[in-house]
Amino acid sequence: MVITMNTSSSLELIPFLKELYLDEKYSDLTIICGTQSRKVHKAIVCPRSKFFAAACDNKDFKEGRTGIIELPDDDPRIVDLMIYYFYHLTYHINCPKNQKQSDDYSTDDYSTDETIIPPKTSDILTHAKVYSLAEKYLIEGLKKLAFERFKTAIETNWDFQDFRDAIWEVYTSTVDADKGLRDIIVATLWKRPWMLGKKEIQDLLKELGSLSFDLLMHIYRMERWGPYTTEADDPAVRQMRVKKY
Amino acid sequence: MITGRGGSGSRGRIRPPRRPVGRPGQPDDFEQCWDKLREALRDIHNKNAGDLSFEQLYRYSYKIVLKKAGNQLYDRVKDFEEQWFAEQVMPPIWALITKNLISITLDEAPGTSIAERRSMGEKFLKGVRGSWESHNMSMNMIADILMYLDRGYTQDCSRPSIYTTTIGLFRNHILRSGLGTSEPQYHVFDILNATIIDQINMEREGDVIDKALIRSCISMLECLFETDEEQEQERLYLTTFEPFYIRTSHVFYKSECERLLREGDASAWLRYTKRRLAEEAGRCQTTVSPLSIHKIAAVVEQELISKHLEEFLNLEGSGIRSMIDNDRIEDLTILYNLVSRIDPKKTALRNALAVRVVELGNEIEQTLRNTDFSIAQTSDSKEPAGSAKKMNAAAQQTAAAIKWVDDVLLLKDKFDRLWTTCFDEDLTLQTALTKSFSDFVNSFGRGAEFVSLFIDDNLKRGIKGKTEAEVDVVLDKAITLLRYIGEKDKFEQYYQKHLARRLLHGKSESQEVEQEMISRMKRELGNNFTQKFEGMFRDMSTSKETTEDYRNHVRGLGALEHNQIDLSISVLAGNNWPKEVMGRFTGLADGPKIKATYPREIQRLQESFFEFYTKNRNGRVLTWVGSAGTADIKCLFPKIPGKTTGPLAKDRRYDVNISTYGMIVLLLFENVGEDEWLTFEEIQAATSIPQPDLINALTSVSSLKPYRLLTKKSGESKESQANSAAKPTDQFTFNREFVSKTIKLRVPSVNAANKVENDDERKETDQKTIETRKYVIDAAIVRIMKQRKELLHSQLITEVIQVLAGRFKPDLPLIKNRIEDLLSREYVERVELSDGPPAYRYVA
Repeated sequence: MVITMNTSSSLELIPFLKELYLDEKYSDLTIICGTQSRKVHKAIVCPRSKFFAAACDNKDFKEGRTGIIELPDDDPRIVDLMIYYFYHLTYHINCPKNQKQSDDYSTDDYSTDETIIPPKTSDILTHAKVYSLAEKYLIEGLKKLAFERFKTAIETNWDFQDFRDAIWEVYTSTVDADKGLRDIIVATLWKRPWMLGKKEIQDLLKELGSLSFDLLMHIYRMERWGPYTTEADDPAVRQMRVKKY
Repeated sequence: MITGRGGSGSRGRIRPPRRPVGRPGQPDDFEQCWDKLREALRDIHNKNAGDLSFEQLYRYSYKIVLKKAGNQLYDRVKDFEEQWFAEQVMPPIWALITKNLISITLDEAPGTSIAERRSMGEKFLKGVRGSWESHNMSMNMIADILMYLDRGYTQDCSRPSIYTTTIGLFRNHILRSGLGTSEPQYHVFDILNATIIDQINMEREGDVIDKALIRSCISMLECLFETDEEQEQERLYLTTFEPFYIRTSHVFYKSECERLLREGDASAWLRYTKRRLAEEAGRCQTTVSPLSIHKIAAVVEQELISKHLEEFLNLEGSGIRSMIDNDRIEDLTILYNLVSRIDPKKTALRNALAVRVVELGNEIEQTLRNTDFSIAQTSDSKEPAGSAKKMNAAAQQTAAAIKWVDDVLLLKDKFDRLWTTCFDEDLTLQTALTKSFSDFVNSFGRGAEFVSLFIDDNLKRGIKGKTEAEVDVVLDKAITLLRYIGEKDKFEQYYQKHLARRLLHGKSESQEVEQEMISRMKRELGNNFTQKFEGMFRDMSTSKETTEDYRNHVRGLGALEHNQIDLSISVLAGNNWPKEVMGRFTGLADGPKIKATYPREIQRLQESFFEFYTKNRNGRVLTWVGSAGTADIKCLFPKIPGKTTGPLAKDRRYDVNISTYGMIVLLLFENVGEDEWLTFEEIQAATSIPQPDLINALTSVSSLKPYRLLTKKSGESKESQANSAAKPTDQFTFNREFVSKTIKLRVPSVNAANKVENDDERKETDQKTIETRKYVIDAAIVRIMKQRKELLHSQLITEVIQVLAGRFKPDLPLIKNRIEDLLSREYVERVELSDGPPAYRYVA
């Protein structure tokens, strides 16, 4: 007998998960980050993350006993993306129509003049942060997703400042052995050697020894420089300028 | 918080810190984190972790790793744990290893009671368990908070994980540490193993032990590995404990087995072994380790089953012989299960069964031979005692044959029953049993004859009043026996002979059953085998039609005479019927044919029938077989003058059914005067009946009292001879004073009953068998050679044996002899191969 997938029943869990995300009923774990606390479900969270699993399983630690996990050191916005991911298998940054997630964590300083802030044009840094958070808490699926989106963002949504910040994030919040985003960064620097003319990048190269090393090794392997020698040659930069003005 | 950037140049976000960041691995940062972590480790060991935040500790180690100080953290943790272990874990363990414990476990010091040993052992094991469990739990928690160290550092540097390293401390510092100067060759491990084994042995002896305690200690050994590589095969349990466990188990069961051997009760041994196997399997689940379940079973199998199997099987009074003889179903079932464990071919059991089958088979034969012997003796010593006795002896012999068959069948039933109930219908055993049966049936030279006689007896009498199902059983048995018989051709001969008698004398109980028997044989042995039998049935049914036709023909002639003789004829096609039935004179070696002289009336009848028969069948020759037929005669015994009372005073009429030869002889006396005697020679001259047949005919009408139609006298003393067989020197006369209570008499013909052959007959049969075989072998050789044209000698022999295997097992000299013969008759010729093996070529 052939088992045919019944569309309605096979998709049954998806709306159900979304409901769970919004509904605190049945939740058995609280994640506190910054000022915000979110009620989540161990059954959803723990199987995806060894960190959360260990925190909940060890009844001898405070978390295991109280069912409350505080993440004081993390960026609440990124933590919220992570929680969103647990229930939706994806995450959205600055969704203009549904501001709920950014509302939750927007601080007083910015909430007042929110309207005058233009929509953010590049998410490169955010993806890098999601990536390192996923690495920290050992969430393989999220890490993979962030990697893909980081890669796409660099190709389609270029912003130099954002990229420069992302380099710092990647080289300080993941271990050297984690080559995922580093490879993309180095390949981008190689393709666009004009960036090396910028002081910001030069500062980074001075500061981050492993970045310099990675880049040299990349050049060594490629044996020549990438195509876009000047900023004006770079199609991505041209595109951004057209957008801006 | 970071939500976007300001519209002007001023960035509304937290910049990646421009300030000189705390450099990775900066001493202050690290030391700060490590201090916190060290406190936490201590708290965890002291079971005081309740207020520690997992996230915080995780974050410390995460930060350290991120700042590339993983190796420092790793080393610090390791140092801390080693120190902790030395100071806090080991001293209590050492306190448990007392001198007393060492001497009990390693030297088996005498004088300590079991209870004392058990409690001391338990105390030690509990100490080890407690220490292990708390160590293990702490190490699990520590490994969890240091999870990122394993991920970010340990893996990249291919160092063993924190858990592996710290858990290994238990192995390196406790299990592998020596016992100090007193026993330098021993380690704590030896004490642990010996203590556990001691406990297990106590349980084997019937004591109650703390199973869960042992299981905990064993699972510790399962969790620990020889090295930090953690190779699956290098679990300490497998490398250190298990070999010791297996070795000591060997010792334990070896001595147990020796005890059982001394006690000499196979039945107790079987049950003991079965129980021990179950116990050990259970022990692996509850007390030791499932990893050893097969190995420990192998120990029991080897020590308790394999090593002394033969000895237990041969035990007098309880061994396999007694199990079989007394139908000890349960014993045999256990035995089968045990033997199956150690040997899929079950060699020992198979052989024992085979031997017993043959022994029992030979016993049957022995019993029979004894019976045979006594009867033979009687008839030898009382040779002149009279034919009635001898007939009796022959009948007894036949009965003995049937008894033999019955006994064999009983034996077969017995083993079949054992096979189904005890041996799980094992195919190997079935083959062995079948072979053994076949062996003894064939080693007993008269199997073929006896089986045929058994069928004969059943078809004549045995199936009377039986239901179809019961008859079916009888037929099945017959076929079963038939399967055992190797010399199928001999059986064919006997069956042909016996069937002929049944058919001609109308002795068969049921035509249907006869046919069924034949068709079963056909299924079992093929068309060829039953061809003749079917021919015989065909002859009988055509003869019935012929007789009917002839009667109609005679009626049509209208010449109904007063003393019309009714003829019922069986026309037998020569090939289908045994030579004995066809009359001795048709035998090949019997020289010129002698025709019996029939009385004139009969001759007329014969001519009339011959004329009728050949009308439609030109060129047929009919030979009258006097020895095979019977005749119904109406006899009138006139009243004896002078007698006034009793039956003799009247005329007496009897309807006598008698063999054809008997009829000829009786008719001869029709014209003999009152006190005239005819000598044997005179009768023979007048009738030309062959001497042996004549003796039979005369004996049947002169010896047995109820059928004494003729009076016999001889030159020797009369009285003693009255009952004996007729002899060529005797004289005969019509017994006028014959009286019988019944009107209808059926004179039994002396040799008509199917019975066991005497030695001469058997010799003759054997001779005939060999003669027939010669032709069969000739035919086989020629067929093979015709097909193959050229063939090596050895291949030819093999093929001949193969082709004939279904019928009989030809012996080599005979085949060689036949090849020689065919060479001389130029059916085949030798092929000259230089230095090659001998070979033959077919001559077209």
